[in-house]
Amino acid sequence: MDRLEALLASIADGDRPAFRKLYDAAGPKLYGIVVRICRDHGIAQDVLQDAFLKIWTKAASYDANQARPITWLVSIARNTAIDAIRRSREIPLGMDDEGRSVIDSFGQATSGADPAELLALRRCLDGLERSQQECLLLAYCAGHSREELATRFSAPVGTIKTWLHRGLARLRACLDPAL
Amino acid sequence: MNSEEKFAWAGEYVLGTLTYDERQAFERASASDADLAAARRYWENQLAELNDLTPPLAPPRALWDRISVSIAQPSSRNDELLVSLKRRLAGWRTAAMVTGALAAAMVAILLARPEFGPYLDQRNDRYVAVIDQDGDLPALLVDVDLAAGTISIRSVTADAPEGRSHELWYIVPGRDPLSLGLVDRVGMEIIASLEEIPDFQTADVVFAISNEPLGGSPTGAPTGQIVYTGALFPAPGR
Repeated sequence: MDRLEALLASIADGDRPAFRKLYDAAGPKLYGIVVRICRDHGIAQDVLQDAFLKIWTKAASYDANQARPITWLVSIARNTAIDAIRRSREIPLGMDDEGRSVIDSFGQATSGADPAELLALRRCLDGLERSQQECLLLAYCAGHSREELATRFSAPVGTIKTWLHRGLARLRACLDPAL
Repeated sequence: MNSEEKFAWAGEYVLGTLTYDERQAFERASASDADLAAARRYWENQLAELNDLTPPLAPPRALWDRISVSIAQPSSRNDELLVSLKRRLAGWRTAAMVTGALAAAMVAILLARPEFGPYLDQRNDRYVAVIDQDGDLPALLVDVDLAAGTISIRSVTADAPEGRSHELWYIVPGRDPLSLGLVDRVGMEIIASLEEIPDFQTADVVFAISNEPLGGSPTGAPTGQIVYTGALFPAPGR
């Protein structure tokens, strides 16, 4: 059992010191992700508070057979962040610094590396057409909506949707070649 | 919807590109569709590696204080909730002296309404509770008839939210809350024998309604937010 898993088990029993330890261990990772999606520190703080409240109340439902603890925690934080921005944001935002740095950090993580050593997801993402790859990265890491992606790529929203679906389908085919 | 479509829908949910309404629709659908839920977990696990592309960022120091306060709210957690209920119960013991007359008057008015005709027959061995949300519109009425040995609970205005259940609890100090059943819809009535409640007492009793997963608390104790509460008073004489 890894440390986060043990902490979640204690939190499920109402252990507050364990909750504080989990916050110290995972808070910065979740906050970084949430800030990048919300692009606003005030909203991101409300979202993180809300996410940790959910973690506190839902800890007993964590199932180690379904996901790693950090994946479960990030999913709660990301979903809370995406719900918050989808509920409130009306005006599509254009490409910004956060989006740029997502693309750059992915490029740095893959460029020059031996393809055989790249983790499967990065290798498969690298095999996608540039537009599909960037759509997936900007959506997942920077919270871009279809409309924002349409603005960024000067393409109709319907086209973006097609790119997303094709990108996801090709990704899955690459990750699970047996399909 | 075929498997490919489910993976596409779940994929867009996890990417975050669905609109808010589409996200809500997905969550409703995946609650009852195991394939859709599995497709969602598939993408959450596969794309998790991208979480490492974003550098960690220390949250502001004050945020922990906000979080630690918010988990102390009675709505957030069972144990806090019970402590809070017990505290309110202690308050009620004194407040009952003052507000008892007011509550009794309110009950008298409610009982006088034609739809509560059966309740008009008042005797000294009747106790009632009006269960409400901080003095708001009464949500449920509880009527204890010691002579008949029954306790009836009727939902007046409180429908449980879609996909959730309202569970009624009998709470006395120093004992675990006892579930009296689910009251999900307006007009629902539970009539139980007092013998089902071990050592039934009329003093210091609080009834509470908690918001639970559909079908009731999975643990046998309140797990969700307490939405309505009410103390038990002697029924007004006529």
